[in-house]
Amino acid sequence: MHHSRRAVLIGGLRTPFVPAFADYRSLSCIDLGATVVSGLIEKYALPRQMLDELFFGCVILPPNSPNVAREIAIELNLNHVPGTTCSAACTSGLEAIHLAQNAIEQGECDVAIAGGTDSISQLPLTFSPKVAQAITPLLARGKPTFLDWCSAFAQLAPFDQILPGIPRIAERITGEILGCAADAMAARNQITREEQDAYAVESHHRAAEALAAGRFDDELCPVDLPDGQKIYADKLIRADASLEKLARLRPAFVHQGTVTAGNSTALTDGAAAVLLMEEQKALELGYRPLAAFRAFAKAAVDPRDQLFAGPVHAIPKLLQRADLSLGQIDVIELHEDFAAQLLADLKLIQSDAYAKAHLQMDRALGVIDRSKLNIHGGSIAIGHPFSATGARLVTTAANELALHNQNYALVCLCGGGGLGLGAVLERL
Amino acid sequence: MQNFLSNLRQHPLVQGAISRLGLNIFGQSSKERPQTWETHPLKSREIVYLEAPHPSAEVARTVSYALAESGAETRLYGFEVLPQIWRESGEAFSRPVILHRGDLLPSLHSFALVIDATGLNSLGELKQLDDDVLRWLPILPEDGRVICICRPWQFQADPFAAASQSALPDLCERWAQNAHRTVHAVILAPQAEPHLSGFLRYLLSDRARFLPSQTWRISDRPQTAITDYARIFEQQSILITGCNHPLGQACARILIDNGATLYCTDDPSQAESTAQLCHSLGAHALTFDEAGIASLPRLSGILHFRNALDSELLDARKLIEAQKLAPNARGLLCTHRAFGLNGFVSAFSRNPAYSALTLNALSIDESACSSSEISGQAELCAFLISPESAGLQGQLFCVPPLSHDGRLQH
Repeated sequence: MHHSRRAVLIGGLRTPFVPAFADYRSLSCIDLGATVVSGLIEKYALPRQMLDELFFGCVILPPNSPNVAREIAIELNLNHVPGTTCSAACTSGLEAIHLAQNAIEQGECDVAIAGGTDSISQLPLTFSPKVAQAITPLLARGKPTFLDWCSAFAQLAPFDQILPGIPRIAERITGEILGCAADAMAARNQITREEQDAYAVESHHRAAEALAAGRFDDELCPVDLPDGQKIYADKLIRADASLEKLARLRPAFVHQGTVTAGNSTALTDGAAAVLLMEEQKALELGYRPLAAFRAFAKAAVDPRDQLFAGPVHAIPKLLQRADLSLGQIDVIELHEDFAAQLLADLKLIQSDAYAKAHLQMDRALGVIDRSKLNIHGGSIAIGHPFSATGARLVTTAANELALHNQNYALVCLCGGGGLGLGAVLERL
Repeated sequence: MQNFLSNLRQHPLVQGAISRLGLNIFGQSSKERPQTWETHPLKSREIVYLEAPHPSAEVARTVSYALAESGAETRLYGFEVLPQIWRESGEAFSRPVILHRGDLLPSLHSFALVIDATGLNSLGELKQLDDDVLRWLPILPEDGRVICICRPWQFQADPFAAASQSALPDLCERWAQNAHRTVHAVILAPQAEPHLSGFLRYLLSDRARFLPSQTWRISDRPQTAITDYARIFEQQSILITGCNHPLGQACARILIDNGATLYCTDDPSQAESTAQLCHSLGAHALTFDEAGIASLPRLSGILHFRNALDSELLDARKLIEAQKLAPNARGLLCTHRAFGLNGFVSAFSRNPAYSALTLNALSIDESACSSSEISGQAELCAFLISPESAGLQGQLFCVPPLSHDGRLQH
């Protein structure tokens, strides 16, 4: 569908993705986001005054500065640039891109940068409401006296729930750790350990080949560390991944389960963003757009059932809105939170019984061609800084369309809370 | 190590310490609101399905989808090959069905047995079924259940088939008494198979844990579509008369929690407590007079709690004449004294003047007053008023008290 105004994708960039608590541990998500934004401005020689707005997704919001997008603008002295931050679990980055697309097509702005940034290394620890309510008023008053402290201390009695909560990547409503949910999904959909390991090995090998071939060179921007070092490349990809090595790993989440550290994404720090413009504006400024967004679609499923089945519901809606069939898609980038999740989703997408029971369809969409899927590896190999993955997938997909003169790409992510968010890009 | 940690977390001292320190490290949900109606009430419950000779494809279809959708882990026993319908239903809900071949009984983790005995047509087959089930019963846990699906004998042309089908409810009763397990006989009329789903979801779930063995007669009756199990009474208005009865109060809570708009009424002498109850629940207090009836919306359900049959407070005719009943409206008469209740409900159901209301009855024991008993009875009342029990009409259910140690009496 072609609006009178159309948002087009000029290009994308990301930081190298590194393990959490390692190279980027002293960099905040704002620092990482600022790196990609300034990288995009520099790469595309964008006049700073032309940037209208920033949209960023972020899952681990800094408590004292949660509007990460605006903080990035301020950090870069882009003081005229408003920023909007959204949080939608792992779909945050793609959601930010969606917001930017809508803003451009509604005429609210002409030039926007959108993406996602997350630093697990700087995950805040939080105290219980009881502790916060005892301590916060005390500190807000300025100079508490000894008696004020005594009174606050007394409020903590009985002395339970006084330690900081241990962070867990878990579903709020069930308390279930995401890895356990993936293991359950593997069991229910009969995805074996061997299949998951094989998928993970393939992801690493594909990513390693792409890295070696320089495929990601154009998508990466180096990161300056405080100690003067520069990080140029992803640090999670394992060219030497093998079935034998993965088979030695123990189940990570469930006793006698199938999900391991090897067939799951690693905790990762990083940021990624894309430059979007209104189509006519882009042409006036002399840019050659890569692609446009033909459609977006969202879905949500009961997180108590199959937590990661969101894409299975989002993709049919997406293809319907884009007026395309699965066979017409040339490039498919699906987020791999866990090999179990991705393989289960693939199984459900091709199940007639599931389509009839849940999607109000007579037949399944069809089989996703593995030769089109994540051809340069996926999140298991490259890493998954929660919100950054959306922009990474969009950038890689758009570049792939341009490189091989192909027409359509489909990008989709699952997210906590049972979310699924996808987009179809068409080459320009 | 993982086993050690897994066992450690179950230790009461460890759990207490974790809770006191607020560590919240072992998957404790931050929001633990109990739900009466769940989308997956049989989650992780292992259910074994048996077929007696000449099974019904329609029963298999309904049972397979009901179990899979409810989250059950189904085991088929006595099949050589996995039937297509079970493969499909398992795939549709990612609940693969497991076949058990040969003579080996499955593991001790099976919670319930569901038997399709609708095709039994000889006493020899009946005897074989008896032998099979008697092997199963000791393996089920103490709170395990058996659901035996059969047909009304009146629909059998063959006298031996009629004899077999008519013997099944008595056989179920014998199984329950001998094995001290809950055994429900479900007499399923032809074309009523779609209604079976709601009964399975209830009878096999935790909601029915205090429900002793019953016989259920399911006929082909119109049903209000259920769109959301988590809010099964959404957009439904329900009237409770005798709301200050302990069971009435318990039912009111369940109905409100599951989305009902509730109207409560009682003797005028209890007006103050009625008003207090309504205020605490978010329900509407009502005087059951002309003005009160006129103020009612169309009711999807009526629950009547009284100490005896009392026509003053419940007068369905007034509601019918005032056209205050929604399509497929359901009523439940709940009383301590069952004198004449069976005849009342049966005649009410046959009377065309009252066809707008589907009425069933529940007889409860006066001495039943523990929280478990009230809870179990309230769950049953809520089920009998819900769209899930659409196939029931004109039936009297009896719920004896629990034994002194809080167990079901079989």
